[in-house]
Amino acid sequence: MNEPKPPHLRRRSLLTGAVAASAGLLLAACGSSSGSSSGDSTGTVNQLSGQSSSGYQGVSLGRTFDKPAATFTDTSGKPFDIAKQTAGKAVLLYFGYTHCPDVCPTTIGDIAVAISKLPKAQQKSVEVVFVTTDPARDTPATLRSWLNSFNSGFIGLTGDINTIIAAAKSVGVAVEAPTKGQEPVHGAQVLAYSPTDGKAHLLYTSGTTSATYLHDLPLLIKGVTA
Amino acid sequence: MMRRAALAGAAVAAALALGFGLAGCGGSGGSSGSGGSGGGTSTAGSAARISVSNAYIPLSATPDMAVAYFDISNTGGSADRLTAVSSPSVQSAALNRSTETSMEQIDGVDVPAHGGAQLARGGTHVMLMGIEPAPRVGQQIELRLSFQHSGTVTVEATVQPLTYEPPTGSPTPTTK
Repeated sequence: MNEPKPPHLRRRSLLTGAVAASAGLLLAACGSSSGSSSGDSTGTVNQLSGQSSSGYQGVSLGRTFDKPAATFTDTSGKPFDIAKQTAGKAVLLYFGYTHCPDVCPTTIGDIAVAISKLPKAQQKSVEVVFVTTDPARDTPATLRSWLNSFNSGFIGLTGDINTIIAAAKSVGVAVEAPTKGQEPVHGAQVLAYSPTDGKAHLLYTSGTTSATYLHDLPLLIKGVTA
Repeated sequence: MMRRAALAGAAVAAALALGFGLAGCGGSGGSSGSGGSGGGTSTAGSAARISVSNAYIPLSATPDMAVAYFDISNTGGSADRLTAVSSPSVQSAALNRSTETSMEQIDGVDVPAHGGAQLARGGTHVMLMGIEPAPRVGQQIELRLSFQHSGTVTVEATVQPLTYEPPTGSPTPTTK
């Protein structure tokens, strides 16, 4: 695409570096500009994973991440401990914000479509956890309303921005405190946690199709080793 | 569905001279515009010939905000550039691009000669703010696309469900 060079190239490069370094990965598939079809993105993910034997289409992390240890507030205003309250479930964890017009609803929407196609029993075995990166605007009520558009079972969490940044960092996701007049900055990858050991072995980059989630979720729910 | 705006007389003449049928360049569901200053000075010899297709707006989970996507095709011999989008149904519209970790406003989208550009999920898109009345699935929302050389191309974007996934393998070329 012959589009102008992004003005924030410097910051973007730094962030990409940080994410790539902590995840031990080059997230080349993220934020690919307008040209790529979703099919291409999936292809890139497959190529990046280098995990022909695992059976997953998601990107192998090459390491594991624990669930963030912080206690957040859920959409009913109650404290929520991710590790404790999602124990034994397959978990997809994403950091985003509701005023995000493109990537966040696309990602959560594609996950919602995939989950809606799973057998009911499997639907109950997976939790989707959306942590806001814009807690000033995303009140519990705002989060609930936004998530309900996709799936009323999705978990929405908020908290102090520094807690959120630290939690994201602990799983290799770059989040910055929102600055007035600027779009919030957040890594767009989805982390997938196994119900067996409660650890993330896989991630899904922005642009992952619902077909990929639909392919991988039954494996994740069964605790198939990544 | 097909609506054509600001089609300069000169462009029609140029199109006729080239034996190019404008009706055929949009495809179904598309809109076309053509003409302008690019043709006369271009080494390629023909003006940009822009058509827009597959325009859609997913229903938004956020009140007052939505996003629009579409494919731009340029069958002409000169490049063009989408410089702005507006709509009578929204307070403001901005060209944006999603980056790896955020989103940034951009001042245009280049459309190469004999090529195209795609505004698609996770990439370049139009952010629509203050959309009224609240869109309904199946509704058509008018978008006015301003091109540097081809003038304004008006297209009807179809409101799709929130979790709509466009068919993959769009025939629209993304580069020449």
